[in-house]
Amino acid sequence: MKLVNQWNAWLSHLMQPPIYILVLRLTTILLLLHGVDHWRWTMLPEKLLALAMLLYSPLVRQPWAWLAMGLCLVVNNLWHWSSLVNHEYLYTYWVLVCAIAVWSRTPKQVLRWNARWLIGLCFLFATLWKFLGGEYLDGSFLHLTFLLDSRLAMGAVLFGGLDLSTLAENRQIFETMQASAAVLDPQQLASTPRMAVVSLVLSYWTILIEGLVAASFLLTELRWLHNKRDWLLLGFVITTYTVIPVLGFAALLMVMGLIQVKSNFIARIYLGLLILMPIWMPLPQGIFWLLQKIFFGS
Amino acid sequence: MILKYSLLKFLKTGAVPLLLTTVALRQIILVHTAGLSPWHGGGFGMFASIDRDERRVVTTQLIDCSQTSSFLLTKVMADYPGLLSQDTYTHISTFPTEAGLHRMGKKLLSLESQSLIAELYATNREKGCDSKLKLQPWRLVYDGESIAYKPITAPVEVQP
Repeated sequence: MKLVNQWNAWLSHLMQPPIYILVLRLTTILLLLHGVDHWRWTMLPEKLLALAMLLYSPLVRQPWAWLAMGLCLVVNNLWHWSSLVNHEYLYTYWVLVCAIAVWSRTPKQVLRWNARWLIGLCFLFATLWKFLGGEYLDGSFLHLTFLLDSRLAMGAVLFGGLDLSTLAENRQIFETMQASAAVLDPQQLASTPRMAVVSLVLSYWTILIEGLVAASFLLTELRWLHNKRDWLLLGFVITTYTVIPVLGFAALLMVMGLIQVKSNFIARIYLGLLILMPIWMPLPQGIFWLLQKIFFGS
Repeated sequence: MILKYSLLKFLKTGAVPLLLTTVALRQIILVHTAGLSPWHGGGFGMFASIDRDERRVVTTQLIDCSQTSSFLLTKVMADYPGLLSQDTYTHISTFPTEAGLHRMGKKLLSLESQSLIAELYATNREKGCDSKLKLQPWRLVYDGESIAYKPITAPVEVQP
């Protein structure tokens, strides 16, 4: 109980107004940490600037610092546009919003408005892609991902009834096919009917939750849905990123969620989840890895 | 004054969402017209398609007067890191435009590269046979039972 009280007191301390300063600081921390797993030398200026903004806190309020950060990210995006993934673009958009916000006389309102729109639009396009690709509607994308992506091995074993050795064989078949560039020889993969059904159900669940997040953030006229937007976003983050941990994306969604929310209670959930992310996000995968070691010794 | 106010309002409320929308629409168009992988380009197509760049293959064949020799670009990259970098290969497989494939083919055939492909090309030439390099990008597909590769674009033929 004492620990909970201390935790709550700490969150209250962090959330002392103006909250937009906290959001700017959190953004700076994310900028310093994100992308360190696929380091490029062109990232060095933005990392140094983020470090300077963290060490010398008045810099966080300086429009020129955010403008310079925005410039660094835009240059990086233009340079590596074809290899960057979704959330790296989102970081650039968010930094541009931060730059505009600190120039304006109403920083909180600028951050809040744009956070809502950026979250809504990114989920709108993510949902649109599920229809455009077609591989979601028949479940084939998730089915193959369960069979080949080692990050989803936990799901394939628990939901699909596959065993780890079958999954390893599937990966081996694909790797050999790709490495030998045997493009004219189709290869059969081992699966189960249950895996196919689960993939289809999860595909439609993903379309539903992403579509609902998009609609709830963008369509303010749908009052009931709009008021539930934070719960939908939190539901998406918890159900998706515990299965496929994408720390950088989830953390940015939490920061953007934090500034646009009106309820102090939900704001604390956003902040709490963000702070505890390095613990709760890899936890299911960690437990699964431990169980594998204990029961299968692999 | 009104113009300045409108511009400021646009900057504060519409500029960045509009930028996101423009980049995302551009990505959708490039995926459907130029073979860009849905996973990249800022269109939020990650985890929506099997066609991620890491799973693509670019086949490379040298066609001479009597036979066709196939080469693995991953092996070329490993054997001649100065000739073809991982970044170049990633870019080409993610966004395999005709111009990009052509540029890569020319590089592979250049005599300065001293690669096996260039050596074989030079040998053929000495024998009086003008061979050509055929490059083609492929994407992975899955029908619920088997995985197979499907061409993304028509093959590109390159001569030095």
